[in-house]
Amino acid sequence: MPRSIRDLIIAVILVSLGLIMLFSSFEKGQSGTFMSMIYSVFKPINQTVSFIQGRSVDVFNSYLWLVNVSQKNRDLTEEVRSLRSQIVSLREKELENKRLKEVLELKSRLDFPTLVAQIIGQDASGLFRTVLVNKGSDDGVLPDMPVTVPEGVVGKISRSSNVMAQVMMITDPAMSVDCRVERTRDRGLLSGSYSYSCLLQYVSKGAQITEGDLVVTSGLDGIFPRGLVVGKIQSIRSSEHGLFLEAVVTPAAKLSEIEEVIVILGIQGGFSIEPGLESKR
Amino acid sequence: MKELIFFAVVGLCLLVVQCCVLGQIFSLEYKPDLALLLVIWIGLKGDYIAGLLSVFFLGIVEDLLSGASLGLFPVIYLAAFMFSAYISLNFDVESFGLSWSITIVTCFISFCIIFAARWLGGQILLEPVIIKLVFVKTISTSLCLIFLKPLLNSSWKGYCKLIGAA
Repeated sequence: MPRSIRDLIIAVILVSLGLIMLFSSFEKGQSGTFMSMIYSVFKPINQTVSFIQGRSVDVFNSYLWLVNVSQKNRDLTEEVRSLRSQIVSLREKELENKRLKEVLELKSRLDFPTLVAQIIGQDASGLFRTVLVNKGSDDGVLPDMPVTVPEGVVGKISRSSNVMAQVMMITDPAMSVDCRVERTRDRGLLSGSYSYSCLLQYVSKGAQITEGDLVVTSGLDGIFPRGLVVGKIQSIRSSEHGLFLEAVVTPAAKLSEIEEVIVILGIQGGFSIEPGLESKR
Repeated sequence: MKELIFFAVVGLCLLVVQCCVLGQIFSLEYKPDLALLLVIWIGLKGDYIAGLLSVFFLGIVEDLLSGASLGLFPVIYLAAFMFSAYISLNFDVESFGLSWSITIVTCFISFCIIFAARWLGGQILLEPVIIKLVFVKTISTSLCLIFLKPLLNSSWKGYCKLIGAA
């Protein structure tokens, strides 16, 4: 067989294979052997590089930027005193809050089992809004599980292998979260956008939402438990056809700065939606 | 075989740099695609079979390390590889100007295909910001050729010397 024909056949086979993978439903989110193998190779390398990065930042912060340290030290000592008194007060409030919750027999939204994972890599291409975390299906992390930080929602698990998982963030245009405006209880669909961080769409035209309103998850998409903070409304406008309102939302979590995330280990495929509970919030 | 090992090791290193290091230096919009530069470099180098295979697997790994659907990057990388290989067969690609022009064209088309695929898949809307993103990514990626091409050339020479190949 002439070499040029052989080369052409190999090229056609590889391109066809790529197209078949792209157009088939081959990918189900959870890992196959090949994906696990790739992630197993990358996890220790990524983790080591992240560790070295963290250390080098520490070295800079601890030794090289020692300007005005004594003044800062005095300020911080003062702040610690003030914070200690606040902690005592908050502990009292926490205990009171806990007792009241028990009395009302309302299940706390943080009752879900959770797992802390470390971010060990960003999206390789930079064209998608995803990050890699160092926990996988061996730790119970499965596709569609919500990912959050104390400040607010981060996204959901889009892929998982036994050692690593990929998180699709709320700023990715392929991501959608069913949300409510906390103050007015109006519903909308929040999705990522390249133009803005996030866009809350399909909000009813008559909704009395204003800038600065808090947006929380509604729990009706079957993935995110209700009541998690997503972000704040930055601006409001009428949708393209004028049927709905649209709001630009700034995510509560500083997505570019987070280093650790909390994965909510619910049932794979989301949380059960219990009708009637919505109104009890 | 020696080409495959070299491409695999360099590809792995570049992907780790892309995942962990570049994010600290560039914002996501400006983050260059070093793996695509490697693909173009392999194409211009002219190792056809080893190039095809390594580019295909590099694409799959990039898929897994990014949010892309499985199969998107292998197809794009194969197309970019074949385009640059075709150019290297018909033109003198030793000049930096020509290889840079090829890189700019290949990057621009590749990024356009990625966004077109996402749009066809219903994942994104066609917004003006997409055009800006394509241009920004193309410029940032092709600018990286200035230091990556000499680095790849010297690494390849060093590798050949190490294994005693001509």
